[in-house]
Amino acid sequence: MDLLDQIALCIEKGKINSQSKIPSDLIGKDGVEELIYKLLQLNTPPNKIIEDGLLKGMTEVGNKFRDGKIFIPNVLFSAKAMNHALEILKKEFPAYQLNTKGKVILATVKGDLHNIGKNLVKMILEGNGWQVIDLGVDVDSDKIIQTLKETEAKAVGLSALLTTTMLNMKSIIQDLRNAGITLPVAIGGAPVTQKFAEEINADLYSPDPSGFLDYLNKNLN
Amino acid sequence: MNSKEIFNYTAKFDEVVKKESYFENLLLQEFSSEILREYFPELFNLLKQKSKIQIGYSFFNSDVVKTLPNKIKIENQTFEIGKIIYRSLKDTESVFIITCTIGEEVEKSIWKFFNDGFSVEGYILDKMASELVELSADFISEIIEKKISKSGQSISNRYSPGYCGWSVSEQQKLFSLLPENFCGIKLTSSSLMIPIKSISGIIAAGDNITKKEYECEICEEKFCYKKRTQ
Repeated sequence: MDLLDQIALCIEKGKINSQSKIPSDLIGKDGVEELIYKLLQLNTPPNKIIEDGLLKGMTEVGNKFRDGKIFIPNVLFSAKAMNHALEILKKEFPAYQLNTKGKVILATVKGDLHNIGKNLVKMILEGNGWQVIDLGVDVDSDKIIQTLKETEAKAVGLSALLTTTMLNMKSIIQDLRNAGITLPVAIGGAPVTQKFAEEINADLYSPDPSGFLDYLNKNLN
Repeated sequence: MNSKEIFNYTAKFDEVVKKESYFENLLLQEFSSEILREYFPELFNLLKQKSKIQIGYSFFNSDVVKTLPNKIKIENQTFEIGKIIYRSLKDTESVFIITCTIGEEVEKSIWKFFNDGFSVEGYILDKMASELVELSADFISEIIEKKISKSGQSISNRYSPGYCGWSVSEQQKLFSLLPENFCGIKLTSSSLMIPIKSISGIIAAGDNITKKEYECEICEEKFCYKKRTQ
């Protein structure tokens, strides 16, 4: 296995460095930290490390999460390893600008304060090269519209956990359309369904972060 | 009991969390034992150190409580509780409006973890904090149950705005029946409680009120996240 494949595997397993105790089957072995420095010694360009190593690993994470082969804790550890890798690259190449595919706004809708699902989407999108503007929880239409005016976001993702608050997705989409905003709006969250997405004219429903990522990569990259 | 009675109490962590292993067992459903060994002890101590548990209730007796189809009236406020909750509360004689919180400091620690890139720690602490506020609500339910059982009556499950078809916007009415800043909880304009890790709701009491073994048994809501996790 070459170093780039190894680093992709370390992202997938959430292996930060040789000292990391998690995962236990890789104790003592190189993590993303050691592998990045080995790759840099071989003059591997940072964009190659990112695209052929880190992003490859995160794509696998997204796919396995979608397919139910890994669970939330695995995604968290992968995101942690990914952040660590990017920090090293930023330190070694202060002037290097990470290529981003574009900006995406994420928000948990008004009346709802559940942020774990949204945070997972954020990790998967960021780990795959999208810049996320996280508006947090209990977010109303005005805040989204204002942020869209101030940024060049390409899409909006809305999250809700409760059957009573997912109804606010409808009014947010209506407000965005009334304000002349035609950007795609994706919705997700435990009670949300494809049927509901169609009823409220959302552009996409996805039961997992990968569905939203695939949509962004395919249509807006 | 008087027509209206207020109870407010700052609970000790150990009163609410009877066994430390409760959290470990809960987390083991999702995390491997190797992850828990690495993270649990420190996060449990942080939770214990940062949480400030406040619980309370306001009691309303039968003079000021009335049920109507899919509604319950308490003093001058009529709550649209919907058919799911109404089925369990239609024989209500008296009502306790309950609140509890674990304070703001734990939430700040959770956000700090996420903002600093420590998402694993943030996620685990968030899970424990959510469970702690549920345990706090269970604790106040136990206090109420002991009190009410003396008169031979029973209590219902607790029901909260935002769940089982009861709109979260009705928090405003609920809090209008409580003293200002009760348990240190405030409402935002969109009816969310600050501190975030707080619970509000009602518990009914009466001769013909029963507690369901599992509250989802009474609910026909198809898309609720609780149904999806069963």
